[in-house]
Amino acid sequence: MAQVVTCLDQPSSYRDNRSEIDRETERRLLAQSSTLYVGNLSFYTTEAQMYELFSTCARPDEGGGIKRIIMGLDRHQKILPTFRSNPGYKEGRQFGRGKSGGQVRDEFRQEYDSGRGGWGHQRLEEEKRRQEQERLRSQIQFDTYAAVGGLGMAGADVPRGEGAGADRQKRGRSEDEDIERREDEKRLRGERDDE
Amino acid sequence: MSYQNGFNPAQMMGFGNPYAAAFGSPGGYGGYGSPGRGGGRGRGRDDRRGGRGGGRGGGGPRDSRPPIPENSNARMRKMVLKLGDDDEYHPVDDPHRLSRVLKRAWREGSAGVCEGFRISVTQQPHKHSYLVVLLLSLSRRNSPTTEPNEGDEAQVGDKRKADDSNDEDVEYGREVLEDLSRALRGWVEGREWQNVRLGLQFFSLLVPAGLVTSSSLLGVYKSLLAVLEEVGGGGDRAERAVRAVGEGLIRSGRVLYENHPEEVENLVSAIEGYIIGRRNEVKSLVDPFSPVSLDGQEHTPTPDTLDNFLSALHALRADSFALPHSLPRYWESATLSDGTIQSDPYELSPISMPPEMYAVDSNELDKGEGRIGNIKLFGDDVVPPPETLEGWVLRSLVLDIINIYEVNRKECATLLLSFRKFLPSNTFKPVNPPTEEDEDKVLSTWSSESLIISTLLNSLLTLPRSTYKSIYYGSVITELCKISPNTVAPPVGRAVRKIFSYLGSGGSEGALDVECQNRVAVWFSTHLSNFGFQWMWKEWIPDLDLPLSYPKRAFMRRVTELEVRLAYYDRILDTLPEPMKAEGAGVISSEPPEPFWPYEKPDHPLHTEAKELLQLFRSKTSPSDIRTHIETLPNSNSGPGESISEDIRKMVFETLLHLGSRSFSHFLNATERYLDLLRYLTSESSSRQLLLESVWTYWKHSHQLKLISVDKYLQYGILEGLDIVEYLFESTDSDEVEEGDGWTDGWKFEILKMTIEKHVGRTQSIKNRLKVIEREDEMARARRAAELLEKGGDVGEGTGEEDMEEDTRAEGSKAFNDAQTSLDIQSTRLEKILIATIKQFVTSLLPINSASSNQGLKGVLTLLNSGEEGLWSVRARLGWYKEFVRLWSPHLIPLAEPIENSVFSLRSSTDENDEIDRRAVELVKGIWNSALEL
Repeated sequence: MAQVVTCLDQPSSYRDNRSEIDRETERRLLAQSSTLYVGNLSFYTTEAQMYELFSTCARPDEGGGIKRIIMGLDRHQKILPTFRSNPGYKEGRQFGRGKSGGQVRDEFRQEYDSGRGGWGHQRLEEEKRRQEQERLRSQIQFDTYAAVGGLGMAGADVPRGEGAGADRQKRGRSEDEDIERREDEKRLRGERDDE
Repeated sequence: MSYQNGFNPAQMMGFGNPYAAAFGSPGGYGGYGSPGRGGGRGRGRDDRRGGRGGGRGGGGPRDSRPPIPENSNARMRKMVLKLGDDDEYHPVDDPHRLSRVLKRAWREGSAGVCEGFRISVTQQPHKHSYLVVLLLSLSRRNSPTTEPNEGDEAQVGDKRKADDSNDEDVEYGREVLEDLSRALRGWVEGREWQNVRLGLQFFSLLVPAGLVTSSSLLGVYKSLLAVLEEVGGGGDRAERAVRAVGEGLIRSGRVLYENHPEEVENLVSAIEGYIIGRRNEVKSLVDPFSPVSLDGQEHTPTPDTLDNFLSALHALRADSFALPHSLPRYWESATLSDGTIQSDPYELSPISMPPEMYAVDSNELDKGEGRIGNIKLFGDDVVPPPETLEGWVLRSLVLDIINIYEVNRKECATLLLSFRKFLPSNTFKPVNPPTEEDEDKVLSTWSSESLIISTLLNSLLTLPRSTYKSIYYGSVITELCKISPNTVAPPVGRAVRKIFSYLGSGGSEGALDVECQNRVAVWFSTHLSNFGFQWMWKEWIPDLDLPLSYPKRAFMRRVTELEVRLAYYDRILDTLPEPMKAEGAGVISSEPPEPFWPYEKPDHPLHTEAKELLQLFRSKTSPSDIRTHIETLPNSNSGPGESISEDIRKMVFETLLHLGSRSFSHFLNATERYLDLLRYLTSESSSRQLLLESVWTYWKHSHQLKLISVDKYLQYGILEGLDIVEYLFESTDSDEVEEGDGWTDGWKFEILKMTIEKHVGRTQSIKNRLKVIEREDEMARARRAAELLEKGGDVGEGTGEEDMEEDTRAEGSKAFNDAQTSLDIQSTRLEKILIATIKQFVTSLLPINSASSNQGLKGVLTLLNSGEEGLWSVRARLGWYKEFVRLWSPHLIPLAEPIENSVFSLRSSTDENDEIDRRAVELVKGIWNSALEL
């Protein structure tokens, strides 16, 4: 099913320059490999977390599963931890490194995630954004799942949004929570439902 | 206020499309590539790769390389594939323009056009209507009686006119149709059922468009449905034929019915007969709702995919087979212009079904193609129900997109969010608030985002298995939420709340299946991990009044537990409101998932010994030295030659776990280094129970690490599956009795499932190896035979060959026999585990010695008899028993006889007058019996 859309499970364009094997062999080996490289992890990512997430990709009923996780700092530069499952790597390669001996980066995270080290490299602005994010968090909690439609629980103490969000506060309990009701809301606003 | 400050989806998705221009390629054809272009979003990535699958070969897809020049076939194929991607696409004019371009270059690129149609028909079902118009245009030509330079072609230059007239004898449309009908036959032969269905759906649209004769399409339908007449009902092929023909009728029914009313009725009756004729037992096993009831009559079975399909077909028939409103019919506007004539409609030839195939593992993916769960998550005015014609058509389209685009979740999400543009304009409620002009119109209330979420979650919740891995559906939802948080997140939240309401005695449908509950928890915790773990926990505070073992409580615990696994304890604790953090609230584990090493305390009787042992472990003392050390410990055994005491064994196990507690790798290293020691200490079944007990003690706060430890002990052959089955059922930790045990919370089944899957996996990989060996043996034999033939010894040829054959067989059979032997060993092990598991389930649900007492399922029913609900942990166990039977029925059915003899024959109802006991037995046996019906 690849003609109308690019498959995402293609090998990375990264190539190990120090590797002596030719491209064809490399491609063949990659096709057989069950080792996965995951880069750009947080310093705080644990093996147990990796195990939990990547278990969902394994096929245990066909003899698959996570055989091994190799995670550690770069031997020389101690930069970013890397991850591998399953054997099939060469000694030394557990310390993932790119062209400059560091890390290859092919995708960037755009969103803020304190669990993954905030904004990444933009340290200077991090704290400022973190505060903004904290403010947004309570906002998001309200907005994301409750912005349109019933909360299902009348009178629950919902974090108050600011500005535009504030007028979406209380609304009636409805048996059918599924109705899109931007319009209805305006009418229901202000009506407390204490049943 | 929205997520946008958070991740700025515009920035993420906004890679410019430098290749957009390439599409409006050289010879510029009448403004087909309109200036407003630049959409197509990620599609640009396709182009960069230089047309994958085009058979053009040449190097890997390195970005630095210059694009490979396109040949005509590839260029024209791409034109067909990209039809309709333009935001300002006109469904009649644009195909018409494209057809002129294609006709002009037909000689160089007709193969590309045909290929484009084949690909588009099977991979872009949302564009079917566009393709019909294109094909219609291709099938028209200038009337020979009129001058070619008349009509709407006035702007075309002289040279082109000449080309057109030269090619007057080429039947463009016919070439495509012939190619497509060849392809359809190929798909049927190859059992590519999804392609078969989509191909037939497309051909069916061609009848109302006047491109295919209704009688010939009817012939195809009939030839496919002939499979229903086969002895034995046709197996899975029958369902595939029914689906394909039924979908075809939805699209072609009106015209067919006008011409052949009786035959169409007959087709519907045949489909009806097949769907109604299925046995109910089979359906009950995959029913997502199955409340425990006293008489078993209250619950109306949840309609499955085919039931929905039949209801939709009934609605179709009731409306005289009119085409559903949700399917666009642009061909109706593509009227013949002056001076053009339409080619005669094409005659399809009948297709015969390939014979039934018994190899289990072939085409596993397309088996049961198009099946989906049926859990109502939204109101009928938001998502049209799948049993209505419109609801069916829309859900099928979304489901097809989800399945086809599995290779790229990001593209899938992008397409899902824009697919409404391919449908008639009032299919979904307007994106922008209605203007005054709209007030007179009746506007749709359907929400495309809710339909998408409903379809994704129902795909995830398909029983017994979803088509793709669970993680896929969740990943698409994540992508959707990143692209359009404001429109997607609210339906996600509503769906979760709706599912939550189905937990326990909740909805009128009854309790949601425990496996569905678990899948939702797994998906939802992962989903939240991508969005800062923010959830409206507050609205579930009133549910804290429910008993701890109640499914809603169990669900909350499961979600927080899985969240903690993906993050860390304090972070998840922070997301909960105060009442849920309170001591004894039972929403999140009271302790972080830290190890527990009881010997740390100086007052522990084995404190000194454990400390010393840990020191020895840390200094990498050899396993044999450790063994000597343990054996010479005071109190290690009751006398020389006696076995080591339980306390010491446990201390060694727990201390070894302590050595490897820092991470998964530490644990593996510790286990590998002291493998011999572990084997030595666990030679008996009782000591292996002790090892499990140690794991349970040491990781009492982490079910995940219980799972990982057991998994690896299994892998290293220290534990056997039977040990784990026994331990899971025998152990009842004293503090978990009726307040959420490992079955209500799902982690015990998680460990059980891992155990059984590991053994299934072992037999499977040996089976795979056997196949490889067989193939190699065969090749070796063929090679020998060929060599022999080359030597050309026609003297004594016959005897020579025989010798050779014996030789190779002996050589090959060594590896083959070895594999066969280990397969036998592993299969026997698996069988034992399966029988032991079902036995344990049945015994715990129907305790043999408690015919009078109220344990097990009987207790549940007794409570129910007095109008109460309770014993939720027993109900959870019943649910897991059902999941066990459902999941491994292919392995269990061949064991029917030993299971009957060793499990069910022992537990028939003891007292005929004990109505409740009889019902309990009936419930448990009923689940097993429905598996046997499969």
